[in-house]
Amino acid sequence: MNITDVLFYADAALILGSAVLAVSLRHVLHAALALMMALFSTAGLFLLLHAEFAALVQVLVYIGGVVIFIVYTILLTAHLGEEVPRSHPAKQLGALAGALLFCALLLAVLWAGRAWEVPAAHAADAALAQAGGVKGIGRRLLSAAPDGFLVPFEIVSLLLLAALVGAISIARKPAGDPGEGPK
Amino acid sequence: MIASLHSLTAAELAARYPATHPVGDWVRAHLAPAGAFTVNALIALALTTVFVSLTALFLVWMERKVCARFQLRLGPNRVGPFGLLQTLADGLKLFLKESFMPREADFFVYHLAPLIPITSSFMVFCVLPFDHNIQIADPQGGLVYLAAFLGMGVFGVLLAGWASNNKYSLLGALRSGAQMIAYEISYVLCLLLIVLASGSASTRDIVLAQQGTVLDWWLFKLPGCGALGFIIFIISSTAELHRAPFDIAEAESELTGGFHTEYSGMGFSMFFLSEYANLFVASGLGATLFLGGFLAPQFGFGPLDRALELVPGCVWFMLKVYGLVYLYMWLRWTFPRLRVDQLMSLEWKFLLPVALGNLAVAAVLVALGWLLP
Repeated sequence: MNITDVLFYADAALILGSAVLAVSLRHVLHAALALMMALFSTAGLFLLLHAEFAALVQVLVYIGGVVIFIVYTILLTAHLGEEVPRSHPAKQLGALAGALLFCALLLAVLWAGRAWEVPAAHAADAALAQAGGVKGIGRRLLSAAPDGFLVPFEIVSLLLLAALVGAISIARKPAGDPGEGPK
Repeated sequence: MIASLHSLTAAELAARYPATHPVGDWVRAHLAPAGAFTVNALIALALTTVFVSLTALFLVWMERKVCARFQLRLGPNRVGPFGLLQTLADGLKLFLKESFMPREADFFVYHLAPLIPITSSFMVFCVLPFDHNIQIADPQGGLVYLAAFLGMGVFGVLLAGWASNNKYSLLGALRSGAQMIAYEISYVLCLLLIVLASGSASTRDIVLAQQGTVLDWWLFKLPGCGALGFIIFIISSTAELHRAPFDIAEAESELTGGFHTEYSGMGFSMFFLSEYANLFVASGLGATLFLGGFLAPQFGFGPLDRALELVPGCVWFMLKVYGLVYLYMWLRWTFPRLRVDQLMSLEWKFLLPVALGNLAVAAVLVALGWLLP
């Protein structure tokens, strides 16, 4: 067991622990903090896989974007101090069944791919780090070559534009409505 | 493509600006790789801790002195020479003060919140290039890292405001959350401008891409775009730092202190420390991105250039940083505070479109190869 394995198991324990806390804590804000911890330690997992860019984007998007908006929205709610009521036993059973099904599927996929038998996974570390870095990802993302992702990238940005336009059209006042505040 | 525009090749750069420091080399030569890795990291951590604490102490003193000059006062002048030890005395007082926690406050979040901003400042310090061989880490995606960890600081403010269980604190936290999320967009667009121009996101490579005379700094290059980017950077980073004229999160006259109203003793001093550490980080970032970082200013005049080159890079870096720190203080004590609605329309209706347009123009200029003024 080398240092990478130790780090992996420590990080995996952290992810699982905080993920369990995120769904089991009765206080909404504490659950959001546990979610943040889970997402943050996932970035550590990406780093162990030499995916530097994925790790940085994980922190930037999930911690700096998603969780901040979650916390912000929680702060705006009126029922902040109250504890979330325990969910119905039937729902808990359903969640348990879903989790078991997921585990079974995951095991099946792992068994079919023999993921733990990757030969000499660490031999190509340098090449991996190059491909997972900002430069490698950036070049492939905007390359029109067969292994590039130029078209999907542009389509995703179109989707983002549509979402922005939609958000603005929802937020803007209808014509003729003076709205609140000083006129 | 872009690299060919710079006069030196990669090998020449590596010979002229070695990336390893003699101290680190000495440790590596005397210890096994794993041991050297640990020892070097510990040295870096200890140095950062000492440096951040001393810098924050000095900056608080400097702020009070500069503010006093602007208001025709003397400022601290009793403790130590020129009042230099005043902040140390104040810090000691804060250290010995009792730490109060409001009765209905959330214990865990209340104590967690002050630690988040200072952690994010420390994380960001790791990628600042103080000299060509004084930099803790130089990841390929340095600026993505910076954007990620600078954005984490807002958590401390949001959580502190909520955990205090005080309506003024919560109002301050919500205001500051909205402000930081908004201004982060222009901030990151400025970082993107520099990545576009340098062809790299590593802070060290960005500095090395500014080789040449003073006119090769990104501030003056990309005709107009560099200067405009710098102005947007200064405005949006002032907002990110919660400094006047963007200090609505604290707004003494309206919110009695905003998110840190209920903090005393060490909790308060953690917020205070991170505020000044972040001031240094923002100035260091400005110097790195726009003012050539650790490179000596060159004016294309042989003897003078060689004389300036004799001064070590870290001295130039600190001079540029303190120039920018003075600029931030100047802004703070000159402009009155903006209202919340003015703040939001400044970002969304003015800064963001200008920053986007600037980036688009810069992209065209870089594609055409017109980097020079």
